[in-house]
Amino acid sequence: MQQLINGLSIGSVYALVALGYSLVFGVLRMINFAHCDIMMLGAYAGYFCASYLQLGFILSTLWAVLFCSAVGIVIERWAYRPLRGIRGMPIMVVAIGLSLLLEYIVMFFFGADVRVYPPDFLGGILVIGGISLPVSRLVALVLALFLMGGLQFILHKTRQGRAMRAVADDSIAARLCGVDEKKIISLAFAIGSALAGVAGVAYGSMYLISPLMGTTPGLKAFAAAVVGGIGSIPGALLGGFALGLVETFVGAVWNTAFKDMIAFIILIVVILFKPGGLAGSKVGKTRL
Amino acid sequence: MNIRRRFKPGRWGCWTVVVIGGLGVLLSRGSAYQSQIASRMMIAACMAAGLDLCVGIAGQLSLGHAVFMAAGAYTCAVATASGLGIWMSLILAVLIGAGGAFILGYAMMSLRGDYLAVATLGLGEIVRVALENTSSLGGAAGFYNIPRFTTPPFTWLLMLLCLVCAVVFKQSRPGFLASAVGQDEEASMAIGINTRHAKVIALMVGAIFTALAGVLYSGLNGFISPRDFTFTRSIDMLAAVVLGGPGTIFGPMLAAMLMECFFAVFQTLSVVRMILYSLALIVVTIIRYKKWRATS
Repeated sequence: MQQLINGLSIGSVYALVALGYSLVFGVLRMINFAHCDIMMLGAYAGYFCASYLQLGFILSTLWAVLFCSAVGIVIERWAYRPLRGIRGMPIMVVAIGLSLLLEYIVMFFFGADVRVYPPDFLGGILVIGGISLPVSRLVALVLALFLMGGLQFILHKTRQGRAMRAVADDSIAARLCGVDEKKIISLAFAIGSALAGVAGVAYGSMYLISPLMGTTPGLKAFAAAVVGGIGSIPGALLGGFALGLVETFVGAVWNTAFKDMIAFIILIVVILFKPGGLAGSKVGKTRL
Repeated sequence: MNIRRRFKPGRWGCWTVVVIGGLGVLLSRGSAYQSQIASRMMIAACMAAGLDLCVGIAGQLSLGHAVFMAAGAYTCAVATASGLGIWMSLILAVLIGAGGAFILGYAMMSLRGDYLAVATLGLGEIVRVALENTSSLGGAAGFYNIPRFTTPPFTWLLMLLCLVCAVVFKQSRPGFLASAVGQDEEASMAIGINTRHAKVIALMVGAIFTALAGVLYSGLNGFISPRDFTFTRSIDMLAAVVLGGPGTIFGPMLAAMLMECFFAVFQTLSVVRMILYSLALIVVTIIRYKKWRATS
């Protein structure tokens, strides 16, 4: 039971970050490698609010979300938009450059050492029926489920959401129907980065934070997005939670070393044998 | 496209690589630090040449090339520790690097574009974690007491060998085939090229150079650890290829040498150095490819 909650809570972080990868891949067909560092920025923004400005959980998260969305929009506008229409390597290199840039800017301001959120920030442990549940993990889980519901609502019930799905489906047709593609792409980056910001605060309240913390969970979240079927929202959720659970159980049953490998082993197996991912996303299949 | 023009080896560029390497060798006779830097520059050039065959010529984006470097370095370390001579270990390391590339190539070269990049990235992480947890190879602490056989002249000779082999490969039949695949995979399939063979051969030749660089690296420091073969290492190689001009061979080699030089000069300002490096990477890539798009 304890492991189940652990797995679900880390899975919810993966799922939130994976959603960002999937959203951006859906509209632009590119992998935003800097996404994992936006999550790291979120964690630091939350940390800054919580420990320097002494804000509570809700306000800190809100600030982190706003900050991350802004960064996401800026990155899209100034780094990715000039290269629109170019495939493959240049985009990848720019994304990796951005990722390094964000990491080392944070290192410049906060130093390279590991930091901890203040203890009263979602500290405390809830004991229900003999099982001790850290509040931070429960909050992460609830928050993730709530946000995913919100995202589904935006994508399916609002005008902007419909436009975003249209662009993801066929960007030329969407443009012909009068969808402002640039705005929609910015919106996708903003939403994805906001989710990454929440994931960052949630991750930070569970574990330690450092400027390079984004890479490993980021890569795993990316694996989750691919495993679930990149470009598909339910797939990202499924992949994130599945990966969190598998990883936690493997860590508990075998050894923790194997835990860091399992995500990538699953990733390669899925890419080789079922490229559409578990949810069988159309976008993923056509890539091959 | 004018094939002749495209396949000119870039004579001046190649000579520049040779001369810079030679200057490095001459200048490095003074201090141990300088010879370390000169060797590092040339090792980076070998790696960049190897990755360029895979990324620049065959057009297959790999984010896990550090794997082949690790294969070379660890094979060399184990071989010298078990009493083999340096040349034997070097040959063994190169063979293992090529064999690994053969197996991985056949498994993965059916993937394309971003998927290949992701799979190689995952592979790189798997190998790193596996090395960290293999106690017979030193685990996370690393492998010590490798004989320090790497000297600047030796590195220079091997780098020349890499350069010549790469240029010859590029102008040979397999090189042409790989290049055709890199330009348009469907078209080359349609005219009857076995694209998988072509890609695997380019990957293998590239992996030989990269494994060689790994051998030199282990002989330079006398010590290797999984931290030497991370994602960052693969990215540095890729950055050299992109900044130097994919597919030109001498360009990536020059870029790799200049990057090592830059790292050495700004060594004291570690964080600022990385900020400058990443900014340069972003700005240069955007400018280069924006221009390229405008002209084509």
